[in-house]
Amino acid sequence: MSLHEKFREQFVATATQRFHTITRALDGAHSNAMLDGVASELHTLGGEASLLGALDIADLARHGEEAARERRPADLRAVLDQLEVAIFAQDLARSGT
Amino acid sequence: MKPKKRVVIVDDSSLARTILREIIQADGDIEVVGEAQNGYEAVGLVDALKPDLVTMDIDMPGPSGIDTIGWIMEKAPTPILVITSEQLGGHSSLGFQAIQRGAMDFMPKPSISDEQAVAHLRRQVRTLSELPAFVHVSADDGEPAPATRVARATGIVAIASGVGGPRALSRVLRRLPPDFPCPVAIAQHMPPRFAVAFARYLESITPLPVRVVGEQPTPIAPGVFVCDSTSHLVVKSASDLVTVAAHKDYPSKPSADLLFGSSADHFGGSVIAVVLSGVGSDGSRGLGRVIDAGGLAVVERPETAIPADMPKAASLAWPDARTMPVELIGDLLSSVVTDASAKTTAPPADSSDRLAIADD
Repeated sequence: MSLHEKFREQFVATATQRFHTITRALDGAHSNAMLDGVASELHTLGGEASLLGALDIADLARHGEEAARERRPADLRAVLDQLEVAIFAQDLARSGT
Repeated sequence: MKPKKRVVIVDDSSLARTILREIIQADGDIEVVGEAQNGYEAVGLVDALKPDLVTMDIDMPGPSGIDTIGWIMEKAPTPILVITSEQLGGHSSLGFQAIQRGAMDFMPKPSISDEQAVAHLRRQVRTLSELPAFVHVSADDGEPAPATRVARATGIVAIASGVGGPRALSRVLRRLPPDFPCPVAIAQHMPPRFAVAFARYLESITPLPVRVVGEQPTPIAPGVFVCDSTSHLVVKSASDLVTVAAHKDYPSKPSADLLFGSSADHFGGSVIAVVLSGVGSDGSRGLGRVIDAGGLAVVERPETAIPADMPKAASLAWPDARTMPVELIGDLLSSVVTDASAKTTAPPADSSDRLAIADD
């Protein structure tokens, strides 16, 4: 089994958890502290995705991080929609569907 | 049997630590002896375990990796390799900030699917863990030497700088006066696409203008010239620097050998070539070309270079090269360049003249 395969399940679980943390935070008021927290979560997700070689997720996470740091919530929402699909695709690949 | 290298991983992501552990331990000669998820944990762990090397993330909750590097270098000096998903390149100078705080080198987080990248990470861990830890020295080396007799620009200063080189480089450039009349071309070994960040780092330590050379010829003028490590920095003519994407004899980019050789081709005896800290032997071959052309060869004293492979190789190959502590190299450059500019309108007749100037 390749290293990518070995860690994909753990990555998908972690990425899904981080995604839900982010969307829950965005459901509340958009304070600067909240957006900084979202940016930090996306940054960590991007690093994990880079290590796994999930470059589409890494790229989206980076764009989302920038949007959060630059206080562009509409752009952030758009990136998160794409991110959800990309994480789902990793999950499908993991389960061989 | 050789003892395993002992490594501590600092990263706030549990998954990242797990994957890095797997990558680092893959060849069996390196052992991850501890993991820390933030800067506070890291300092205590490093102090307790005394590892051979620390890998450090930058963006973590609480103290950043940059702050943590400073604390570790104060409390338990240890070679540190920054491995991060931060935007180290582009306009960010975070990697070089980490080096200023005491890190040895930096690299982006590698993908586990990229065999070359993970092999490179393991090589870096092995190389840097062999190096002696040292207490971070304040970047303040005093005021630059006064430019007592600055004359018109003459010749070129070419510098070879490898891993550990940015720190040495900062100590050299800080000593150059704002009106240093000579161009300074630097072949700095670093990850690809860091040229802009490297230039910003240099701008933070020298008043001299810093330019990133690209494929189009860049006029040679007083100031500092660098290039990205996706290409070689070469002297195209006595008036232009340029980058070239590849050279059959020099696979590693940028090649100091190529920079030195092309400098000698176009500037003859008015070249000063300097070899600073680094791994490997880049610079040694080109130094011979500079010496043959009558230029001045300067090598950082291996005893104080970290790592010392490049200076050692250069001094072994060219025992006549002038070897000196890095803190004196900037003053030597100021002295030689301003004197040479004032005294000569043409390259000196032979190398002994130039060496005599250096010995003044």
